[in-house]
Amino acid sequence: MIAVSKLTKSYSSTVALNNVNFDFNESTVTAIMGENGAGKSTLLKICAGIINFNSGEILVDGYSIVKDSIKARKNLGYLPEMPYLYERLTGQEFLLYISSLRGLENPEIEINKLSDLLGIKRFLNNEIGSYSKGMKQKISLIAAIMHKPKNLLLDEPVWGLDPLTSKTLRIFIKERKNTTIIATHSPQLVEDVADVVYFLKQGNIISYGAVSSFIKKNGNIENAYFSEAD
Amino acid sequence: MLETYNIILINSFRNFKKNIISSPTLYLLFSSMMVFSIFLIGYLTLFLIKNDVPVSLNDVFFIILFLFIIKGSNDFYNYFTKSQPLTYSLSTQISHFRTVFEIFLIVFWIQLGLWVFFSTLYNISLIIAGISLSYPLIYLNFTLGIMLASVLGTVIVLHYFSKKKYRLIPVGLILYILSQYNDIYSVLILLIISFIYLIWSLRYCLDSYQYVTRKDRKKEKTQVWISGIKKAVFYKEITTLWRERVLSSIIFSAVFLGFGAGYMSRFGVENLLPESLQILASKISPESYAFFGIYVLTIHGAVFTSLSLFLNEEQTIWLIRHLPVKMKTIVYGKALAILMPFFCTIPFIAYFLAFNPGKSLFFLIWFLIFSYLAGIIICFPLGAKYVGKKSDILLLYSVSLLIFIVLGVFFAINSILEIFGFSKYILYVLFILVEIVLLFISFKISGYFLEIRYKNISS
Repeated sequence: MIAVSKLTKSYSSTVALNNVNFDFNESTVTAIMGENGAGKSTLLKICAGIINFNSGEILVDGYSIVKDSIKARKNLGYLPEMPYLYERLTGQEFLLYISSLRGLENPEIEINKLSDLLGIKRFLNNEIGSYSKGMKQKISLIAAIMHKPKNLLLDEPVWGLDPLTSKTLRIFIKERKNTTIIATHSPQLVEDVADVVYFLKQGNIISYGAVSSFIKKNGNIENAYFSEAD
Repeated sequence: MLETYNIILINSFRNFKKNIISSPTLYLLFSSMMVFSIFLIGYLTLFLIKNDVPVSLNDVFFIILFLFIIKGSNDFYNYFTKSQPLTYSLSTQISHFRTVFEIFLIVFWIQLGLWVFFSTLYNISLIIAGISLSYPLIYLNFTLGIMLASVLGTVIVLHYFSKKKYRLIPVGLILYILSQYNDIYSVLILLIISFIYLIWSLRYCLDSYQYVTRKDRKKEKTQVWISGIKKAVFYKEITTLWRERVLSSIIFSAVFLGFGAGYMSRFGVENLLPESLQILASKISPESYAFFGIYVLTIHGAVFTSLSLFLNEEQTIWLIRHLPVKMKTIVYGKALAILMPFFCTIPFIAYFLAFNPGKSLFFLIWFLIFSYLAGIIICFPLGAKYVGKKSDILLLYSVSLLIFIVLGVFFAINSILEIFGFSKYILYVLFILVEIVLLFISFKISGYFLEIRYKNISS
């Protein structure tokens, strides 16, 4: 569970997030939608403890990302928008390295299972520098979920993935019992997996609620997005 | 016309401006070190003239040519081979030849700009020293050499990062001819030939664009899980250093420098150095040879490697920041990794002593450890502070000169103590102890720089 209260973040004179509040509950898949530069990725980066913010409070499972940063990050998985990885390591070495940092015991079983599921297993012994965007995305995704985090932050998770992996990922997200936050531009993904959706515009929440109620009111999420954005 | 050329220049200029505004201290340090080093070379020229040491212009020409070939290759590699944004230019209706030629033009003008800037500063330092200048033809010859270096640097990258490396053979031939004939007419003719060779090479430019090889590392022992964060960071860094051939290059430097410095201090410099430098070299003491050898090794093993450990995290900093790990622990893991390059420098002592058995083993070991630790103490916090912000060449150059000054001072102290007959051993141990304390402070500061600081948050 992640609670965000009165969060403000600005880059020089540009306000990325303006005094916003979010409640990302357990067993709930929450989608964040909005135009480019609305603050979606910034929100996820702040929740993951990667970037600083100006004011507000972030609690991950009750732990402050500022005061108890290590405890807060313990049960957190994060998939960035651009998966920059260590190019000189192989996929296998990279995943083992991340599991060592996370203190996971016998991670090979989980790595094998997930890499097989995502169709990246046969490339695991190649250096990441030779991977395509989608392959890097898959490795990054395994790194984000292999410790079975209670809180999962996914920034454009299906971007660059092949249709089969994209479908597998949708099923995985749908079946998760814990907190999942997805920043995306895809209305279809929101309809497929999300329970709640927030619409952001220029760092402000313009609307939020259950996906089902938005669909009921507007027909689909795409119409809801345009209707709310106006 | 020149769309790619203009856009890259504008982008580079804006990046440069932004960097200066965001880190004025670093740029001030870099600029002052740059001016300092040029005036140092000017002073060295004065010293050579005053001591009637004839300087061979051929040697100077080749040193400058070599440096500019490296710079040209590096620039072309960054602007072309590994450039992602270039995909947009290459996918338009404009011919690939024209687009890549525009990138060559950027490299060409950067090289010439640097040459004009540095040679002007050097000339100013000579005028200040009272040396009369009248060598327009030599200057023109050197300028043609810089142009040649830009062309050669570009073709080296074009063919080295392709499957057909045999196309590099003409580069070797051109350099060989240049070593035999480097008067102004020869350089001009070679420049024209190289330019034709470049035009031919540009037909195959896409062979090297974003060139990657898929290397299967299934059989390597690194594919295992490692218990403990520091150990895992250590293994990851060592694997990277090994695969990027940093460790092997340090071993090579240690053997080469140890052999060279040992041989020259023992048997003199006949047949090894050009005649012009033999008089100067004969005046240098064995300790000074050791000093220069250890200094170069420190720059390679401690300074370059320490900075790389942090600056290579430019794009991947998100990874270590989102994990439940203290940055201090990551820093200690990196500190363990920096031990390995140190072991690679040890052959220097063995090779140096093989030629100078009477020299103090204790001093050599002490000075190597002292220099290496000084390099780490300075570079760790700087590397951590500038992760993802600055190019390593800027820091490398500034820190190299700083280390030169620090080591020079301590080397002078050592010589003074020797003259006055003080017992140095206690001081040696004391210096190392002080460095160990500073080392831990340096790690602490590095961890602090890597960590996100939330101190200004208001709730």
